[in-house]
Amino acid sequence: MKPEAKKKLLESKRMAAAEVAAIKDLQAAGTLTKDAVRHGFYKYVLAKYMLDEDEAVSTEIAALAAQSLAKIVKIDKELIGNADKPATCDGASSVDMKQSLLIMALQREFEIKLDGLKVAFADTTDELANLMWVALQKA
Amino acid sequence: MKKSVMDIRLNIKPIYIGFEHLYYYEGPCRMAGGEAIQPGFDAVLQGKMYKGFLGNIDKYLSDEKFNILKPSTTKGFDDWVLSDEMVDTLLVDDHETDVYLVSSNFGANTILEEFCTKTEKPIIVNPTKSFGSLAAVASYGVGSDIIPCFDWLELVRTMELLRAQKCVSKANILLAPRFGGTKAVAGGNDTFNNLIEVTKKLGTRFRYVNVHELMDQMKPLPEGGNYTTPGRETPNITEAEIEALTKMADEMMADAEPCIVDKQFLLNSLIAWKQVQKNMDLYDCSGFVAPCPDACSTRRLNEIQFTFCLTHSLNLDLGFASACEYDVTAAVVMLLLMSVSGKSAYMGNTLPIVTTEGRIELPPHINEAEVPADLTYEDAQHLYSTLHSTPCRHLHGLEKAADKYALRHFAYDQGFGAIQRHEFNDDKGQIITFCRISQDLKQMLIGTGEIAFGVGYDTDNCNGGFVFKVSDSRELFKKQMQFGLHLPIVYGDYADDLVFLAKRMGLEPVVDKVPERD
Repeated sequence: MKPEAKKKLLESKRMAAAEVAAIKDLQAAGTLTKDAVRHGFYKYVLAKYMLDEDEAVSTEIAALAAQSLAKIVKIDKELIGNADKPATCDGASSVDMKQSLLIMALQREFEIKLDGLKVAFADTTDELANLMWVALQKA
Repeated sequence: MKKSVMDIRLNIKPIYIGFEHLYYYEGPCRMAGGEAIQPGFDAVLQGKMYKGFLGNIDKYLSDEKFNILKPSTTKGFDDWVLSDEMVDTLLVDDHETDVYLVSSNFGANTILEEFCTKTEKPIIVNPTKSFGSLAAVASYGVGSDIIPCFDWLELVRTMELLRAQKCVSKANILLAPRFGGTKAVAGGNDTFNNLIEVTKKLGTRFRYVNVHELMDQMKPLPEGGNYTTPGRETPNITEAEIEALTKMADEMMADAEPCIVDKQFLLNSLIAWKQVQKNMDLYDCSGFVAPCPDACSTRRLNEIQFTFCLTHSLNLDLGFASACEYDVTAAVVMLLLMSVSGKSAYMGNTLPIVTTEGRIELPPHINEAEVPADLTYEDAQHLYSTLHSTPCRHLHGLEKAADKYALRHFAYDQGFGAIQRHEFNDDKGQIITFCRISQDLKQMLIGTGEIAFGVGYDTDNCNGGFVFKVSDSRELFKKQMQFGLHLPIVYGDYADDLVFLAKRMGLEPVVDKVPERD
């Protein structure tokens, strides 16, 4: 992996972790709101997808995933190999894979459990954040 | 209620079969590492794939021809447990399903196979995921009705053709015999030999109204009932209906180019059409068959001053089958052709232009003056003709604007029997598809041709039609002997579609060679 690419990957992980920590802090203090989850989660997704806020095209998760893939190809094709191995023989697209990995990561990092089918039908970061908000309240 | 080919919808049942790994492990069925093989990942990814599957259904099958039933889902796990519930949940709508559209994930093989063998309905597999139709080869091999589709575009066309098959299999056709119910005494007696066998093989059912009772209904119900059904309430034409048909006659006469029929004779024919429509409605029918010569010899058509010609033209313009000469086969084939093409069908006496000993001999009713002067003997060896008095206005599409038409009459002397004419010379070069099922329900003749020139636009009686180019008229003539005189046609090339449908209907396709095209 190119040094520049490695640096971007580490930076992405650091920024995502910071958003997770911020939401968890608010949750611990009992001051977490739905809007805070939406805002923090949006920044978390951008960090995970190595996108800057001013270059993000929309809040559509599939669009952000596709944009991320396109950006990663320009940085270092090796990053794609690390991020998006084909998981099955069933012809899942790279964009589907990327979104699924994001959902797995957020469940692990926010320590919540989401329904696989419901999250699949969440199109935007706000819709996904709403599902997270419900899960965080139960946590 | 009567049902045209435009009213039939195909019930499509989407099925999604997921598969999840319950534990983290690596090996020959794991194609990734890290987060992607952790428990829970499969559910998320397959949720995305299910969403994509539904998205494709929305994209490709959002058409009023299709009725998408509520999707059913199930999933299997890597402990390989298979329960009745996993499979039976997919079959809850089996009674109303016409075809299943299945997307199944790798690993769920046993669920897919058991599902496929538990239903007798056709199954189409999502073509672009999880090995497509090849994922269902095991079930195909043991007789499940799997229809392979290479891509979504082929899938859509296949659905349209299954809808066409449904149009035939769910249709009731109204027959108006004078004598026996299967065949007329005179006319299209090369029709099916056995209508019970037609129902068993193709699904089409037949309902009857006696032609004398039908003709009795063409005047307002007299006190005491009709002559043939005294004291009985029957659905005779009403004064209000006659008034509405009179307005319709005015409109038709105003638009006709030219109109060479008296208004009263046109009205008589419209009353006949209306009575046929009402009986089709009463008997839930999609088609009608009239016994032209048998009815003619009663002399009642002459007495009432009408023929059924316009009934056929107007029925066909609305997507109902309608056949002359008690040709039940033609009616069934016209249903098939109209539902495949979305266009009105046309039927006529279909005969070769005979070339012999250096002479060109024309079939009856073709006027020599209408034949192009530059027609060569060699060209004539590739010509066939089709003529009747039932052309319609929607040969280019049931939902397209009506073509121009003429109104003339059948009876030369008295001028009754309104008929429509279509100017087939405007459609020179148009590709057509012809088709007919054999009397014994074993074969389907399928062929294509090209309109060479029209005939009969300016004549009365049973002469409207066209001459068309085929590959070899002598060869087609020999083939036609196994099928019959009337070869119903539609505009366009639907030969491959009909071969597919013939096989699905258990008929051997007999395909005429494709003629050379300019």
